[in-house]
Amino acid sequence: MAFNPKFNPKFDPTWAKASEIAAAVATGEITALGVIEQTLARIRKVDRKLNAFTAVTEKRARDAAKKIDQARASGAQLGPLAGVPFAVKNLFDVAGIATLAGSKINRKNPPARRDSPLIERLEKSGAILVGALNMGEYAYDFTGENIHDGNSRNPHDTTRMSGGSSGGSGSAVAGGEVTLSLGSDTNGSIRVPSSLCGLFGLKPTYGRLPRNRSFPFVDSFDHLGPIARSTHDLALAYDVMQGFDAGDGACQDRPVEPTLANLDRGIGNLRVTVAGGYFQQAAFPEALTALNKVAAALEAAGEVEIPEAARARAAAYVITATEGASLHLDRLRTRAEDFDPATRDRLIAGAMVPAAMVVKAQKFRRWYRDEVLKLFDHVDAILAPATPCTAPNIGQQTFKLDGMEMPVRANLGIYTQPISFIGLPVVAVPVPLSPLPIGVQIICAPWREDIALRIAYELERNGVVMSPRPNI
Amino acid sequence: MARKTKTVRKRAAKPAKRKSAAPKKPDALDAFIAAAARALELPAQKAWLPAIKANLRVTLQHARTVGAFKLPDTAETAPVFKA
Repeated sequence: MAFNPKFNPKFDPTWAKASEIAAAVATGEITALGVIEQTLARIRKVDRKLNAFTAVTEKRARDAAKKIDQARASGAQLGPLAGVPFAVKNLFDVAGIATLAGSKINRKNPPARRDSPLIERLEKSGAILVGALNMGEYAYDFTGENIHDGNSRNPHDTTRMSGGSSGGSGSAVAGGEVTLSLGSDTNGSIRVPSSLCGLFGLKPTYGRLPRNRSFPFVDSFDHLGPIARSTHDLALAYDVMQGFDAGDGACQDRPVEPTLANLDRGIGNLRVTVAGGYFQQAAFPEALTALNKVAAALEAAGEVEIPEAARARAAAYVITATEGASLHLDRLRTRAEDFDPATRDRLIAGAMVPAAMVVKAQKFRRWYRDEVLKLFDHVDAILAPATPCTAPNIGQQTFKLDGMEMPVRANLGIYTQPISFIGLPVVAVPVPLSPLPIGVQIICAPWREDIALRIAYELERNGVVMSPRPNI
Repeated sequence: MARKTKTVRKRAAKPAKRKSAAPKKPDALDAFIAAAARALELPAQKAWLPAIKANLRVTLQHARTVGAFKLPDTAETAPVFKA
């Protein structure tokens, strides 16, 4: 029987690491086209259950795979992500597709002319885009629910939330549909789905990765970043996406600072501590169990009080509501009935908040940043829960936080908001508790993604954190 | 005995009538939302008002929490934040 280059039954790209896929493609163990065919077959099989994708770019993916296989045949050196399938939250511009940002309204927009810079950079390294992913409407969401496209579902229990707003980005990676995904994180939208779906997520420092050619939400806090099933894959994707782009006014012109080569340096003399007070007050027992496991593995020294964290969360809430309302004001006037009511009513309320209150929140932000940065004179990383609980049920409206019944949609991000509020880099790591995983944040000083990734890698190497494979 | 009971009934009925006849006074937030919706040309339909009010109440509560924090007059905003 002749070897069929499209499939290699000995190699399963649907749960392989990015570096394993790239190595297999480079050595000819499998073709890039073979990876893509298996990926597309996996999407056809499980996406009916997960609803992670809103568009599958089959032709584009096959064409890209063929080019990689041709390049290999001609003796060219392949990129570090050769043949690795990835997908992006549908607020990233993908040439030829309207950028939905989870909305009904944007469906009538003309197709994007050019890919987002981050897609271009991943593809330049050999990764292959296979589609666009479901998300909460206009990213104003922590649940992964969407009334227009249906809810993205948690692969560990499809009756549970994926988390949001990058819900499809979590579902697709945890469900083995893609190796990597890109999400956005304004208040926690990478870290929340990473926590609920049992994945590794990186929210880089504000200004590190360019956001142009993506649909915004709250310019003051918007970040883009990768989600993966291992620290190594996060670092690999992050390294190739770094670099200045003048198209994003907030993107900082800094040299690329690769992290991959130093991942296995171990913890060494790094000083790790745990966030106390606000960051543990309302946590469910499982969130504290996960935090304690990670803290014990790292021999974290004591606790630190992040000053005024509750107020920081309040300020983030105010700025989010008002900047979001400003972005959508015209659409609220002309297309109000085409919004998800849950988004619309929050945005209309945001439009009515007096400017004096918003300015105060921005002034407080400056104060808070200065205070929190002082903590990093004494520590290298701070640990905190990523979410207060494991994945709630889809459709669940409220949960009990600190004895009070609170809306799930607005409060799954209570521990992520005070961190993205001042742009600190964070790696969310998954602790594989039973029956559902939950994440812990590794928070570092600005521009020290390398430290957060090193710590995540060490935890993974010791088996404390890992992405559990769901039975789906 | 019967007369006494009648009188009591009559007296009890009067205040109830007055209460239902009086127009319900909107609270400050209802009035603010109605005025803001008009001024900002936002189509806040009647059925949406309870959710808008609930969201605005929470947002204003957060704003008050921030507002209660004392900052010097020289405090600067961070609209374009640099880490």
